[in-house]
Amino acid sequence: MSSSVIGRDLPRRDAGDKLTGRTRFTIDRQAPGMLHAALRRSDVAAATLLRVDVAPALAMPGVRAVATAADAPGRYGVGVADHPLFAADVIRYHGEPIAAVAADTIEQAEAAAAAIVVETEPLEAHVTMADALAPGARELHPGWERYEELEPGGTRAGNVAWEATVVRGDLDSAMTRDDVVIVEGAYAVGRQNQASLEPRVAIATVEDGRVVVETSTQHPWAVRSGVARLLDISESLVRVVVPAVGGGFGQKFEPSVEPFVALLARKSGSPVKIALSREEEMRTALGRENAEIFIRSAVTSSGEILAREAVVLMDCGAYGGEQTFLTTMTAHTLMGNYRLGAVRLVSRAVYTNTPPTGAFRCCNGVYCTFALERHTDEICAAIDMDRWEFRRRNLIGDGDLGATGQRFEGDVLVPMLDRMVQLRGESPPRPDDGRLYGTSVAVGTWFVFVGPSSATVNLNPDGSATLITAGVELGSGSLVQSLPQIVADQLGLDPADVIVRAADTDAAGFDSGVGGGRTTVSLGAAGTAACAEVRRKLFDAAADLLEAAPHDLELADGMVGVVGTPGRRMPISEVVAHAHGTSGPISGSGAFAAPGAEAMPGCAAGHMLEALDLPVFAVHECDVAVDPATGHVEVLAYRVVQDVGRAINPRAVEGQIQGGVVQGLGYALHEEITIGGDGRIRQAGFETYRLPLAGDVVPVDAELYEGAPSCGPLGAKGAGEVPILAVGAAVACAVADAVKRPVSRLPLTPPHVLALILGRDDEVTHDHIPRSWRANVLSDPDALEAAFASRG
Amino acid sequence: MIEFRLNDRQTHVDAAPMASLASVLREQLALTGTKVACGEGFCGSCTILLDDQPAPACLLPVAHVAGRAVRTVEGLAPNARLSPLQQALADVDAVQCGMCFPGIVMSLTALLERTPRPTRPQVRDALVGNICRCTGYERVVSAVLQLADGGLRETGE
Amino acid sequence: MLSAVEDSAPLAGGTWIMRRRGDGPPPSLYVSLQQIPTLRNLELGASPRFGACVTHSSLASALSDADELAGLRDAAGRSANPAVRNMATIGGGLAADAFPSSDLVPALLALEAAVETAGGQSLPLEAFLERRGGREHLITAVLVPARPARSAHARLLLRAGGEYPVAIVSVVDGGRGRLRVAVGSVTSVAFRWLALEARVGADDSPSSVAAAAQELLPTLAPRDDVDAPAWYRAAVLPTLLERALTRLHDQPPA
Repeated sequence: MSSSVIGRDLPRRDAGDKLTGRTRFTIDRQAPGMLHAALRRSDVAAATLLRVDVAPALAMPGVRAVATAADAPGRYGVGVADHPLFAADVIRYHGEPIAAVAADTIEQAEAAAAAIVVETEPLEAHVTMADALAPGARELHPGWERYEELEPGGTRAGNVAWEATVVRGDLDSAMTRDDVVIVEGAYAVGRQNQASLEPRVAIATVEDGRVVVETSTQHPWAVRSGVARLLDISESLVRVVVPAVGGGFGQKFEPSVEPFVALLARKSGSPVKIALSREEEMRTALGRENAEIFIRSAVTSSGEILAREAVVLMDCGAYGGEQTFLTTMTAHTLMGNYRLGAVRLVSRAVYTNTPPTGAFRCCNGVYCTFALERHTDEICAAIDMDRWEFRRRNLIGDGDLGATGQRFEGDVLVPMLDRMVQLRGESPPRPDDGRLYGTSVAVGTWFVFVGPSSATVNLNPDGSATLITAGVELGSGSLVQSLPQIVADQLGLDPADVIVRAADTDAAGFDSGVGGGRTTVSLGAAGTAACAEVRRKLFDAAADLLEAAPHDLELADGMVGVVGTPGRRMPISEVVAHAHGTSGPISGSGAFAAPGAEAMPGCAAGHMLEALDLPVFAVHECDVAVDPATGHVEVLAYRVVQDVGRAINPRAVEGQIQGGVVQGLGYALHEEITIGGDGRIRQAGFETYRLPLAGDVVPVDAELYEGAPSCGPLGAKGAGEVPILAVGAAVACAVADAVKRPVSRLPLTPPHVLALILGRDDEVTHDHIPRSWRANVLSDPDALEAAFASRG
Repeated sequence: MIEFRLNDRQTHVDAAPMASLASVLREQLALTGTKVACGEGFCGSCTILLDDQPAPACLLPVAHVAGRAVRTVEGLAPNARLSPLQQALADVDAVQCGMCFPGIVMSLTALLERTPRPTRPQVRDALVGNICRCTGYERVVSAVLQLADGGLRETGE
Repeated sequence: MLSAVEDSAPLAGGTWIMRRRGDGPPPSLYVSLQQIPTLRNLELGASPRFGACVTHSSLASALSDADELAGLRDAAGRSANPAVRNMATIGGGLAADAFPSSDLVPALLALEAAVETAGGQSLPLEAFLERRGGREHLITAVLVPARPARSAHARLLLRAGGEYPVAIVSVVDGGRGRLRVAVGSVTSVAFRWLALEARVGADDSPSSVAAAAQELLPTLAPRDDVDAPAWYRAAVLPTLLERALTRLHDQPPA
């Protein structure tokens, strides 16, 4: 094996076409005779849908097909199947699709969609979680009890789409000790839009009675099953192919627009394309949810955290979606990082009459880390302890228990904190320019979602290899850098001789989807397993030719050779040619599944993941200067120590860190989403939704920390997602340090910061959240405590 | 019929005068390098050069390019080669998803033609209308500065 | 042609109209002004005159040596982003509906600019802004009656660049101690702050002007919208004025 390809800054093979505009994303593609689709969307947030008359649309020029709820009566979802493709009897959010039209031109489709007659009767809209949880609030999903549960174990009722709890240890005793300080905090964050430059777009064609969907997705297999489910056809009748994707960041992790074109393609007999406009993406994206957090800790004067309880409300919008799964994450994020005595946690996904939210890079993690680190700094102030020292004393290390009772391996966080001190070096002196200066440290715990993956490696007659997976290239480089590097390393090839097949569910085996980091770990591991089979077959075939035992052979530089004997080797292509005549063409397949880390029994309820198979840690530091006259925050320096396990391509990882931190700066400082009383998102485009631009950029000083335990291939952890995790926290804590006032909200736009400085901001009180976790659970709290107490 | 110079070739298209240049390039001329990601002039992914100046093709009525010279990303270097700027960006591994890069390359090409040795603030100012969601910009800026320092630059393409 | 066809509208750069802003159906016909070369004329004499179809970047470039017009130069040269500046025209910006955050408008107000319309009439910019809803008159040029001694432009963005400002201040030293101040984006229409000018009188130091503005803030009716709340637009004005006046005083008088 050639080890020099791991850790190499291999360039991207797709850079040339991307730089010359030759790459054809789904948005650039056309099919002969293709029709264009437009959606008719609701213009109210909550209503009974009385009548939908599509006859006017069908009569309009160029219209070839119209679809409504009658064509797709089923429901899909993540934890629970609560989501119809079209509004059927009830409208639950502003912008909810009511019908889809396919026509010769997009203008004709839009005109026809506008001509559809829709009659509604308004219902009281619950636009905030407080409204939705108020006693006597109208249920957004009457009949929720009859929904099919797609994941077992969820607690649901009324407008609580999903609830996850953690009970560990004796909270009440800890909280009532007289040698503890009780510190509380209430936090609130807004939504964030992924704003990938390629919107959600898909083209569906019917071929030989099957629906072929070409789509900009992160999860081809989810699209396959989602389309089949909604069209009520067998999954084997659906094929999903994926070209280069122009950004995903999590939004494209679930099916969304594909079922519309699949339906219309079947109805019209022609290929159909749908591409959402930027306004549709802004107003109906499956964006990062807004959330409300209440956290309380009992801490001794020496900084030991004896108990921690928290309530987190997550706004899933009109349908549960990803958030049903994300209630699981709170235990690992908000209750992560630190050694805790007793723990009580309630994490609820709440239905509101707003556009459904979804997954966005470090979903749940970014705001939980914000709340946790702000809370941690408040604790430090309360007990008068240095913020770095407190962390050093409490960060989880080898053998420590996580919130759900999982035992962590390795001392990773404290050494990372120490490395940060070295990375920081000498801080520059602060000029006397009238600005307020602050600094912070923020620690975050994330994970790699190690769901099942498969890979096949074909060894070609010329000695090159083809890697076949359902992996998708979103931009992080996994499919064009780390994966071919891993295969090349395993097979002794140059990465240029490893062909990576674009995702096609007819060719590749099942995969759980691509989200930063997952690809390198799960697909890398499956690929490694596939390579092991290839190596075995190759060595068996070469053994005769080289007159050596298979276990004495090695692969390097495109050759099979005898270990320790430079003269005895031959090109792989020759061995393959020989194999063709004896055992047959050489290929291997491999699979990867979660190793299955264990939590303590009886702790976690309603969790889809009780323990983290592969945690990923991050330590961030941030220096800011705040203009007290305008509220502007300038980030002067930003430092990252990231737990990467093993960096397959360090330069690619550094690129992810730079990009992820800047995306986090957007979340922390600029990107504000507000929802009007009518349940409509007010920011319709990039004029009002402020993404970081070239002038806002801060060069990130990053160190890749290697060596932590990892089940990933070659010890890799996957690095693409986690860079955003702790940015909101780091910026918020630095601003709080600068202005000497508590920061409880994100984003910290200039008006919000100036309001904070002037004391004219409203304190976050979360009056609708009872302060005791017991009052916040659907289940019987005594039963939850008994479950923990009686654990086996 | 609207006649104009496109990537140094005389071209004519039959299009509605108020159709955007971006839609004409993408749908009629099969030049999909120019992207439309916002349709409002903020994201810069539709940036082309009109008489050597960056312009947002999504806001440009195609009738307004009559008699003028349009350059798109496809025309910067012939036969799938890379211009020095494109090579510099590839060399530092700046590209991620790739949707913004045609627009960024056009904005920077115009900058370098006007200002062969730009300062960091000048590069950032030139890019303020080009949104990139993936990379965090820094590597793009440093690639341009390195290229300018290297002084190796072909004129023209 | 515009007068001949009922349901028609002029088209300059297109940066506003092509975004499909505005309520109601579009006109059936747009008449492009691009082919009228006189609309792109720039005259830089004692009374500068700019054709309506001069783009922001052409204007900024033409003013590169005209330091006394630094305010207008900055307004033209830093608005929006580079590509939009290459297409957006002076006349198009003045005629655009619902565009309170225009940089050029306060800069021109501070210069006491006038708008010339087809048919040869000339009216002060303030008057044009009040009557804009009518649109009977096509803008052909903008006239600056006299070059100032000095001028400066200060704009407050929420990010570092690439957006329309939440507050704009444009100041002109008209010579002989006559300070003129115009404010943009704070109210729904940009205005000349005559009350501030009167209160400041001869003491145009940055801190004095800022203090006077602070006192006059309650007289303003700032606008609330999704980008920034009304109180913020007003609250930052004294600081923005201080910056504009500092920039003004840093320049040697012409």
